Amino acid sequence: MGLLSWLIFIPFFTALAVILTPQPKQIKWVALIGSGIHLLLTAYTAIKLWGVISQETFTADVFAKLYFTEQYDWFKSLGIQYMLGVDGMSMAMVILTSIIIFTGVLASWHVTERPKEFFALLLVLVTGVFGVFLSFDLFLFFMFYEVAVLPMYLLIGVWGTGPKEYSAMKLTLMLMVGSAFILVGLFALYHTSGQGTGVYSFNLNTLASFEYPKSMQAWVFPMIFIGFGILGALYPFHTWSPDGHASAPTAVSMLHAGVLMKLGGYGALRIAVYLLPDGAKEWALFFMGLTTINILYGSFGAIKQKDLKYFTAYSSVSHCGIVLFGVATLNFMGVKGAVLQMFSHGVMTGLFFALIGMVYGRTHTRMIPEMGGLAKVMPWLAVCFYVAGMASLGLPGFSGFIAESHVFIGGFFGNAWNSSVAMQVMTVLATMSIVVTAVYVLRGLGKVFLGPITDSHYLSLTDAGFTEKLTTGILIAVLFLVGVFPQFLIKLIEGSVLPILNRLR
Amino acid sequence: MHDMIAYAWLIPAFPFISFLLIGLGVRLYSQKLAGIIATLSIGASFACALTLAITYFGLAPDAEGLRPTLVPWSFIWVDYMEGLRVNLGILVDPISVLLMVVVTTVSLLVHLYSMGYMKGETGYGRYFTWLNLFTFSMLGLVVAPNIIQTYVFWELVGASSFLLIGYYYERGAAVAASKKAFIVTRFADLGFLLGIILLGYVGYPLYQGSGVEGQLFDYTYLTNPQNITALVGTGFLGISLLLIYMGAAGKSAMFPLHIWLPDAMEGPTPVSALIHAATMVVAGVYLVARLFPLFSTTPDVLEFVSYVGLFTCAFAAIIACTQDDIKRVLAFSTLSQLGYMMFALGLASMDQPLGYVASMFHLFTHAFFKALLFLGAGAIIHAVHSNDIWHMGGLKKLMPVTHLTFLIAVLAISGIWPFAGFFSKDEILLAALQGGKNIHFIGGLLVAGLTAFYMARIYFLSFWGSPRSKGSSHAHEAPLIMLIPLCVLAVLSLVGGWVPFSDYVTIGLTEHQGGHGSSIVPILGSLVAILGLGFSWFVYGRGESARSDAIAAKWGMVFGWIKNKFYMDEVYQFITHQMIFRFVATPIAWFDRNVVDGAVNLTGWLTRRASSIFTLIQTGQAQTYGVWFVVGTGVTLIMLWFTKG
Amino acid sequence: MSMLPEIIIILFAFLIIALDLIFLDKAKNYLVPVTVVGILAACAVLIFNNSDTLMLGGRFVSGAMHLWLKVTFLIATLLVVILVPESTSENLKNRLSSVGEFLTILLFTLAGMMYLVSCQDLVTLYVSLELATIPLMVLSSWNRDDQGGEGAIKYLVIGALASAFLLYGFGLIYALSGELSIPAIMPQLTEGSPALYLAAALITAGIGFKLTLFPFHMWAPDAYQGAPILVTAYLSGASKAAGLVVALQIFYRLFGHFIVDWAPFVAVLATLTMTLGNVVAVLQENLKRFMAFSAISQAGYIILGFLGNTGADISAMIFYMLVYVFTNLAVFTVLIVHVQQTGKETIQSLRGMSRLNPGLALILMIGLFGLAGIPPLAGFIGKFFLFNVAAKSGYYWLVVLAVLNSTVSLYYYLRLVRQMYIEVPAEGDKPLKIKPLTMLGLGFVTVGMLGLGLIPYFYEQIGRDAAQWLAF
Repeated sequence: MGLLSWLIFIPFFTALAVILTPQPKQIKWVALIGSGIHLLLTAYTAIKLWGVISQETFTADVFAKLYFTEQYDWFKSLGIQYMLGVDGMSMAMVILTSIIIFTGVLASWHVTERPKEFFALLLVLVTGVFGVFLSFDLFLFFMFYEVAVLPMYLLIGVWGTGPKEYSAMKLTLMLMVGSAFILVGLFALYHTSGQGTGVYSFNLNTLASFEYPKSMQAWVFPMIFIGFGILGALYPFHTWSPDGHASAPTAVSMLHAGVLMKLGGYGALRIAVYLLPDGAKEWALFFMGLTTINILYGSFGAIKQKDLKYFTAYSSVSHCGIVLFGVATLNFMGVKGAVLQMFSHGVMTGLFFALIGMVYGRTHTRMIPEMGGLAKVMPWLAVCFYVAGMASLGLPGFSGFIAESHVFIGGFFGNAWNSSVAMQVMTVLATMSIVVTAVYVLRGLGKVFLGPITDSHYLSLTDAGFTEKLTTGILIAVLFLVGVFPQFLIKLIEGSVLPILNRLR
Repeated sequence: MHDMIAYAWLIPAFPFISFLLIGLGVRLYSQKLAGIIATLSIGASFACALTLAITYFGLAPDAEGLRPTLVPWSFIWVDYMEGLRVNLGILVDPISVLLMVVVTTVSLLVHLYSMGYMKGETGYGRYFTWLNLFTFSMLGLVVAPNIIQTYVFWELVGASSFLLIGYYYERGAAVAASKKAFIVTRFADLGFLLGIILLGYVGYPLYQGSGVEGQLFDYTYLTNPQNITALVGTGFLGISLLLIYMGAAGKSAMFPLHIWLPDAMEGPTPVSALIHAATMVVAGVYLVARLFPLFSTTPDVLEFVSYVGLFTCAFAAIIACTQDDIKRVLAFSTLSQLGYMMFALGLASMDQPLGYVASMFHLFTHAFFKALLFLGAGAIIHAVHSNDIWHMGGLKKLMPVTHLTFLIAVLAISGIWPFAGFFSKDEILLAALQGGKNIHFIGGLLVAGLTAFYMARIYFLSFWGSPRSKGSSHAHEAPLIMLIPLCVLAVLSLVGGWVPFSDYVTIGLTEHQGGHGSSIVPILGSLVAILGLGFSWFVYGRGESARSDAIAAKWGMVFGWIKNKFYMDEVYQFITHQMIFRFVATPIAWFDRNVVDGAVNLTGWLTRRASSIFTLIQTGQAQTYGVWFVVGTGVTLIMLWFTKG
Repeated sequence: MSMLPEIIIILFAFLIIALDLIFLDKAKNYLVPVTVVGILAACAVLIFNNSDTLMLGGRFVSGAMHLWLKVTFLIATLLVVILVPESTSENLKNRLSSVGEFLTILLFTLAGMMYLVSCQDLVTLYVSLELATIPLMVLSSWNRDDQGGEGAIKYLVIGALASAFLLYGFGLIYALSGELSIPAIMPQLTEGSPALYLAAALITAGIGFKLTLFPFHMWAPDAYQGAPILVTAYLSGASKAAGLVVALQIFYRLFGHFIVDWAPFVAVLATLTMTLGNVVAVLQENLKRFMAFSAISQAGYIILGFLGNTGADISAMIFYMLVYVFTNLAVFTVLIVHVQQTGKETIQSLRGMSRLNPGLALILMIGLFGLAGIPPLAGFIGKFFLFNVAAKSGYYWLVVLAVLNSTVSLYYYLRLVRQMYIEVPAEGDKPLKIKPLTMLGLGFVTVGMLGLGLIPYFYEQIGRDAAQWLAF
């Protein structure tokens, strides 16, 4: 069991441990210890990887350089291997997920209804996510991808609120349809490269070594991109996310919006753009247009939302639009910005949903009109909410600004294959979202936290407890650190983004 | 002493450290201690700024009388691309040192004043935390060596002003005002960001080839002549500078984007004194000054800047004459003075830099007497517990020190001879005259008169005549801690004018600075000012409203328009709420819930419909199964036959 | 003596009858263990002295490939036999009567299926197919209520029609090739004469009946619903496997040359079967009818394998069949325990099972996810390889359809999961009692579901044997 296999399977073993613990009291502690160990191991791997990456110079190589790889044959006849590896991009995502699951467990400290199954499913879901970020054999990648999607049904269905069955079913089915497109794309890649080189393999770099015919790329790229786009809340396919997040319990929507939606962006970048450069060049402008709608549509949609969770769901549709927008720019800054935005938005939404969970736990309502003047009663939560709000509207000093500035400058600088005027117009439209985001963030938070207290019995509400302070503290610290010292994350990511761009030329 | 320049980073560092200290720790234990630490940190920062100014201006200027621009300290912040690196650091040059001194001085005095003014408030510690954050961001903005750092701290300044305006968060009006301020400035910052990106896009290919050390966005790169000629060649420079000016206009509340400043008066008065008089609103002027070499290459943009400045100057002055809330009057007066500074900058050019020097000089002097006016007004409000000037009156005897300092400030802003305002305003008018811009000169003169009029109005109504309300009858002098800053500022308003400004802060060709030669400008200026004062004395001298009501009645409708600030707020309200929210946000929210969501539900519904149709095939009789069986075989035969091919 | 396993099964069948007659009700509780011993003995013999030998003048062959198929049938039957005591305990409403006869007939079908695998010529093929099908018709009417009778009659009538069509087809083949043994016929049938296509159509109908493909599947829902749930399990599992074996024998050994150009036909048939099976299953309420349509849709996935003609394609089909039998039996075991003890057969009756007995609910959920093709279960890996075959022969549109179909199937499988996990149990529901033997069966099946997929040995080994069998 190499280092990376441990990274994937620690949450799984914790899940087993959770199932075996007798009293319900200890369950959350076991889950916390498990995710804590995972956090430490992630930190260790990150530092070790940083040591290796900072020495290397990535200029001309065309294949993703992988580190700490583990490679065992699985179905030899079909060329399927148990192939794990890590590079800058996936390390950043693993760090994000590890933080979110740790704070997610902390945020669901007060889950009393069937905690055993809840934490077990949560940890299985995270195992799938870690698997996706660390596997470089497309069969394994796809397998973990679907493992990550399935527990959502039960998590939302059983522990959710509101129209939970409907949203759980809609979410699961739409994500499965997404994986349908991806599967077909994988087969197209596998067979074209197989017939071409005679070597049938699902290994990412072997698939990358084959020069796919333009006609094939023209239809496979959109297929895979839309497949991942459905999970990454691409414009017409985002409808599952508002319902899904609104009905999901806190930790689940933290994990889902914070991490699972990043699988979409990660997959689109790692598979669609990396393996099919010509397809990417052809479709980049179309998807850039789609994601511009995504950004503005999401932010405008959030202005008139009554429910806090729908409010945040629409905001994350808009921010995920920025991720895919960055990917569609196909230039160095844009793609790097996309990965940074994945990280920063992951932490931000995690913080947002954690806070909403805490407020909901106290006021038992998520309706913005019903709440008012809560800052008087819960100052800590109010300050954290405003920090999250400011980070999400891209206030410098937080990671949001770093990511968004990358994407917008990248979009404006354009690339060698698409008309730069069209890209610039779209970038200007997308940049306008920073104003609209400011409008809905301040309107929403202003209504909930500021102004006179509307409901008298809110006066008796308590402020954040220790676990809540720890959760919000960690997430805000991450937002702040990446915002003020982004070089560590940028250097980590740059190495892995360069091969993708070198292949485009 | 010499190494003070090397330690210049201490100046922004002190407020930041104390912000973190108080914000996270001290505030929870003792509010009072938080106030003291905050003030001490600003004091230390002020001391450093002063020593820096002395050492910096001690250095001998180079041949053409220009002082060196140094970047003593910076660290790599973000690496966008290999050619596009952004550092955070300190830039020391005449205007940044000037601004550092002004910001730290006013901030220190406001901190002192606030310790008295805010005593007994619940969020005392929170107030000082945000004030320190603001000072840190303002200093960060001032010392920025590159345009990205300016943008970064620009946003932080906007955020801290949002927090401070919304200090009384339980009052709906304060919350709305803070939100409005942040959103309007954020809208302007959108232009600023787009301007930066366009500048970067245009400059990058030139920068990449040139192999110049330093980064693309650094001011040293942007302002040195041969780079500028290269940038001008691209043709996009005008548009990007216009966009950057949009950011500056938003922050300095120029005409279309001025609506947030009068509402920002909802914040505590010391906040208005610091932010909305002396420091933040001046950031726009500072940015234009900082990029002046670039602006000077595009005369039409400068032309636009000067006309917008002039219009704002006149527009605000007219409105100021009709306002009843003392802080609104001062807010509009700030708007008007900012208009002065902007149009002075607009007039200048590299070979006729008098406008630039005049603008900076006016910025320097205005900071002091406007802060004094606000603090004085604060003392009055503190005593009378009302903002409305019609509730004041007869405070001359009850609040002697405030009265004296307020009088000095009024005279200073009206441009009466010995006081600071006279010199800086006179220099602006001279620059207008020399530049051959007659409209600006006449406009400037008229506005000077109007300024004198509305300033005198609030002076007479608040200090002369008899107390018009219970509050003002038994008002008492402000506590000592509030009076010290007033006196210091009064002295500064007096002395400020005499500082030989032009040999410290200048730009471009410096020989024919002479200026003072033609003497008609000062005379005309003083004449207009005295005329304004006299007319105001005539109308409001006795402290009752008889005469002013008469005028108001005569002008009727026009007076109503002006009083309601030409209904600009209502126009914005209409555009955002009725137009954008009603026709964009709600339809999108509806569209998403019904159409896009509907499509997904439709697929679900279709599957169920298909399912109910298909179940009909299972009729349950063996005969139909048999028929299907045989027909199926026949169809299979036919299909196999066709695939024979 | 490579026919030993079959002989053992038949001997045990008669032994059971004898024991039942001689000892009457005294031997009642010994019958099941004896059957189990018999099946295990056959298994042991099969695995340990498996040699590629020809018998009865080339009519009977047994090789590595046949081992896999026969083991599938033996295990399927074993698991069903283990569940017999579940249905015969006293306090049940619809108790299974006359256990002895039930077991004997079951063993006859098993023998029939095993012969089906090893037969080399048309006549033995036909006889063993009938031996495998007709006892099932008898079993499906075991409940003796009108619904059981009706289902069985339909099964009989359409079955007769199908076997008639099959026989005519074989007759035509014999006429065309003049040979009876399958290896000999293959070289004869080269050019596509009209008679050959007629024969092919007729035979396809016969196989379609057995594999419940689209136009020929009508009997299945009613027969499955009428039969006792134990028999439904066997029908949907083992009998479908037998259908596949016949299809493999015929399409790859008889019509080997033509299979390539029949790919579009196979694609259409697969699409229709899948889509119909899935779509109709969406609204089903009765558990047995629901599983019937799920079985029909699974048949649609299986014949995707016929789009290719290499060893890998056959191994994909056989591997998926193995996985399907295991997963199906896992689902049915839980359903059998539930239906027998509660007597209710609707999906709603599963309400709140996760609260009453979490273990059973978990296994049923895993089984359903296996059927839907969710990783890390073997169902996913089996489906993946099947879709891989379709993709290899360029039918990308079919792969999209197949995956969308499995998404629809996920919808109706999740309807059961919803009842179990989200709904609260109706008052008065007691947890189900499970016998140790059933527990063992459940454990074995669950391990099978997970192990088959993750451990590569099975797929690789089947792949090698299939390639060798095809060349035979």
